[in-house]
Amino acid sequence: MTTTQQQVSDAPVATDDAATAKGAPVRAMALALWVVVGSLLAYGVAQTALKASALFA
Amino acid sequence: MRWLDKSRTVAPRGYNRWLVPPAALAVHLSIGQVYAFSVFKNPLLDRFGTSHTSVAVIFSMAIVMLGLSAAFGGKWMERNGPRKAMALSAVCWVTGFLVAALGVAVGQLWVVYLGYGLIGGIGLGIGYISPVSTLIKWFPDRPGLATGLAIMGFGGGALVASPLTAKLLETYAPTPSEAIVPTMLTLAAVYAVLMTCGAVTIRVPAPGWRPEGWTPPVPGTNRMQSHADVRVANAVRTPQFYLLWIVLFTNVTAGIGILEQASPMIQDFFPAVTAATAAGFVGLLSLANMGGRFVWSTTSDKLGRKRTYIMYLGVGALLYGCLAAVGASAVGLFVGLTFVIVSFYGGGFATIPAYLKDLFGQLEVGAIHGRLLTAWSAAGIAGPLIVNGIADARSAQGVTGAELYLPSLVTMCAVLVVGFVANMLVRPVAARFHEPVVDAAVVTPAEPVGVGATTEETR
Repeated sequence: MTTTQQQVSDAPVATDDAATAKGAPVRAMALALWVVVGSLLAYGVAQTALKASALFA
Repeated sequence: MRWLDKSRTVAPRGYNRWLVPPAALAVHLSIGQVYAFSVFKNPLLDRFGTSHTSVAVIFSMAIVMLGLSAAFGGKWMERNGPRKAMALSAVCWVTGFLVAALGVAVGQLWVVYLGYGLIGGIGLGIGYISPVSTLIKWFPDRPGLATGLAIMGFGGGALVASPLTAKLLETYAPTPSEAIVPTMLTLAAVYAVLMTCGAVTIRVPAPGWRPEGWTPPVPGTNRMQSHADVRVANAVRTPQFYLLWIVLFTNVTAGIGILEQASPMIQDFFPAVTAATAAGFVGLLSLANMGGRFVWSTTSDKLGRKRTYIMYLGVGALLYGCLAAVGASAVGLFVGLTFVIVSFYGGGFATIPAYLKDLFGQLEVGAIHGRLLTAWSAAGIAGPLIVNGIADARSAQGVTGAELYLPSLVTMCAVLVVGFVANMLVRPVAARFHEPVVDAAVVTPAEPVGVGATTEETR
């Protein structure tokens, strides 16, 4: 590993707040994307499981 | 276009690393459609009135381009970051669909080759490798879980695209061949949105970031986990790279041996099995393929990568032997054995980036992974050739039933033994290939990084 430093944790609060505010829309979008990809995967698995159930019919 | 720059993707302080996997999944779910291409096969045959081989070339071209673009685009991707790579992948993948739809509309098959096969194939390769090294950097404590999550999406992509495409082909026109163009345009629109969302939300950790409470293992505790980085130019000069190439090649070849012939194989083994039941068997194997990617790759974090491949290749060879010896005795046994074999196939794909990270470090793991994927392209040609060649020869001799497949199964068993030996020969990479280690004492402590901030790494 070329870099082994831990991120500094005692940064000024204002910087933290600004970064958090800037990151909020991205967090919301990433959470929404979790829902979308999770739903898509669930749809695919459910459809395939239905198809696979023919094996045990 | 500066928002595509690597510097704009650095995560803000306190960013939850669990917000990164959906970006990777969005891309892999989209490009995973390639494994559902067979749904287009019959409509394309009707539309062009051509041979099966002419249509099969579209898929083969896409897979060959996947290997080539991953091999040659990996270094570019490492330099430019995951967002630019995901955006390029989205442009190529969506353009591939649009050009292919144009080819279908004007009745020119070569335009479909150019679109889906060539341009789309480039999107496949760049998209496949783009999130892998980013996820490894976010999950240095659980790289197997990270790569399993992303690459599971590729397996899941076909599960989503297959029923969706069938539904669209059924809905848009009275016959599927007339519905190809609107179906391709719809898929292009869906994938454009999904992949763009992935590119927008992807974030790389700030330099020096590490998970809270986690400390890197002390050098020497696990010899198979490197604490140094190896660049791609040096990695391809090590024997470890070629041993892992053989490992991936043999694992994929053996898996394709089952997947390629799943439906006719179960019907030949058990004449009572109907075509509908065989389709159910194919569905079950798809679940094994996808589940294996996540479950076995995650397990490799505990078991160790070398031991995991000992399982994939050693136990896999035994299972192939059992299939040849007693597979025809009961349907349940046949299904159980093939389920585990295919789960090992999926697991092999998902665990290889973590194995590469263990051996070569994380600095250029995405580029090294890209080079290694040429093994996939090679296996994609060798696997079906072996299985179909042997089955055709046996069929010409008048052999039927389970006997038709016995030489193929024994050959696959031997192929896995070769991979097993290659894996056993893997040793830690020699120190002469390592990048010089920066002394921690002289590294400037990482500054708090906001969204879009320029950092030492990205300057």
